[in-house]
Amino acid sequence: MSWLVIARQEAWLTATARSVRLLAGLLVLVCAVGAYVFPVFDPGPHTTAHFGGYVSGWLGTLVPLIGLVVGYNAVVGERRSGALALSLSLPHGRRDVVFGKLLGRLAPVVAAIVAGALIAGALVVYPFGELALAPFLAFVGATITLGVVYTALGVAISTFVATKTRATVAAFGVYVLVVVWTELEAAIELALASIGSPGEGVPTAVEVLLALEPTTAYDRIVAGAIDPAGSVGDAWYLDEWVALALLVLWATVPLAIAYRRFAGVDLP
Amino acid sequence: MSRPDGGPAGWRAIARKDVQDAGRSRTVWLVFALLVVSAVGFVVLDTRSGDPDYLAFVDGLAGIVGVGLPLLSILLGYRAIAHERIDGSIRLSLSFPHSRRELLVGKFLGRSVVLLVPTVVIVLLAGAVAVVRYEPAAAIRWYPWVLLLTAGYGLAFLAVAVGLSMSTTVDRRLTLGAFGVYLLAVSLWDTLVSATVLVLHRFRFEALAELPSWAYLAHLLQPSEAYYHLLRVGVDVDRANRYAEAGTPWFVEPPVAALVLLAWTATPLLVGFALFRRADL
Repeated sequence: MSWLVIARQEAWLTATARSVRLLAGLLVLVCAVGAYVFPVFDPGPHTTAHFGGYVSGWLGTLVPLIGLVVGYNAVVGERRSGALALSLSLPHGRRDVVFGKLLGRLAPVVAAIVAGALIAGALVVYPFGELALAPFLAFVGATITLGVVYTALGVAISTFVATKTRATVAAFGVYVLVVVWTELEAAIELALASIGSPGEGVPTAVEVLLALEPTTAYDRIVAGAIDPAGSVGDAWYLDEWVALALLVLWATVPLAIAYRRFAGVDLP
Repeated sequence: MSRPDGGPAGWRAIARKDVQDAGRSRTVWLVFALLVVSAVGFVVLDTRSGDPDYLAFVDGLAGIVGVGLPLLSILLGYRAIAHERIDGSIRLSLSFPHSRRELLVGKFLGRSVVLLVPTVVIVLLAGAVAVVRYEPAAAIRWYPWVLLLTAGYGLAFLAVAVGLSMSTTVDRRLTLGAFGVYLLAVSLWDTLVSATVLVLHRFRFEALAELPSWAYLAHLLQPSEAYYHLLRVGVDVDRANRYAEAGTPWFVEPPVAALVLLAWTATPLLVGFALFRRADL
């Protein structure tokens, strides 16, 4: 249970950091504003299920940022300062450290998402909307999963690299990819049209590649399983359950790879 | 007589001293002058107005009480205990066999007497004018009810002020607190509730015409609304008539209004005393 000790301390340290508080506050604010303007700008019907489709774009931009910022310094910071060596001299294994840090850093992310969802749910339901409980819970669950994916990615980066600079650059690069990715499909279509390829749209291989990214997977879950007004493509790789499996893979595989490397590395 | 904690006479002595001191206080005379001026002014204006009517008279009187009495209560109460703490005389008081609880009870009772005796006398005199001037309508037998409610309404604000007075000794906080209470509970409450309704309903103004049921309760939580609502039980005044509309929720019945006034009285005293009991003097 040594990871629990680390997780608890880490949760406390993370939750009191100013940058994390700022981002968590921003997330709650975005949820609240989204829910407030939802009945004004959305033609309706205004249920908590439709609300998921309305804010998923905003959350898909903000949650990855929060996850990466919370995660990228988790291990490498202590590795550089020497605190990690001290932790490992206590009866904590490297596995305890990585796992504990991931859980501890997840706590404020999840808390912010839950708080935002509570406020947003109340603002959607009152006074015009309707509560659709199961889809809304599924939406909160999907958003938390997205938060887990990007926090795990951040921690994975932090575990993989040896210096803070590299961690910063890598995390920033991942975030730029997230932002750019959603625009890629349109850009590729535009490029294909301009060179006059047959109007079949994007080739399947490229479409599969584009669908791999976690934020688009999140969007497909919301569109396919939560928002009654949304829909996903017919191809099997665009299915919402495949998207969920993808998210689970994204949450585990990068961190596992990073941990493999970290477990074998000689710490200064 | 000499129980170690001061005995039953403790709070009595404090209350008596508080009442006696009141006669030497400039604030009290100011308060008294305000009361007399507003009451006489009201009666004069009322007699000059078009058709003399008992209901309109009570309605106007309630309006003046609703806005004016909180001012007097707060002026009388907001330094009651803080003043003794600031000038140090509280240590002297507590060096006698009086507990802090007795200090609170004595102070609150003393100030209540100082507030209510002139208020009741003046409202009674105004009532006497009403009896002389108007056809003594059947509703006049509810005048004791008006008196009782007015006293309760004044006590609620006195409790808030005394509670404030127990919570701090910082001059600025006392002043701002007294201002804030008056502003919030007397002037702005109505506006704040309407603003909240409007904001939540995304600025569709129909919501103000047909209030959601929780907004009725939010309005009733204002002390003056509770006072007017209870007043309507006996005298059919125009104020607070929104609760008489069809389809108002059950939780804005008159007993709830009575609970509201009681809560405004008890909560500040309890919270203030909890702070005061632990305070280092």
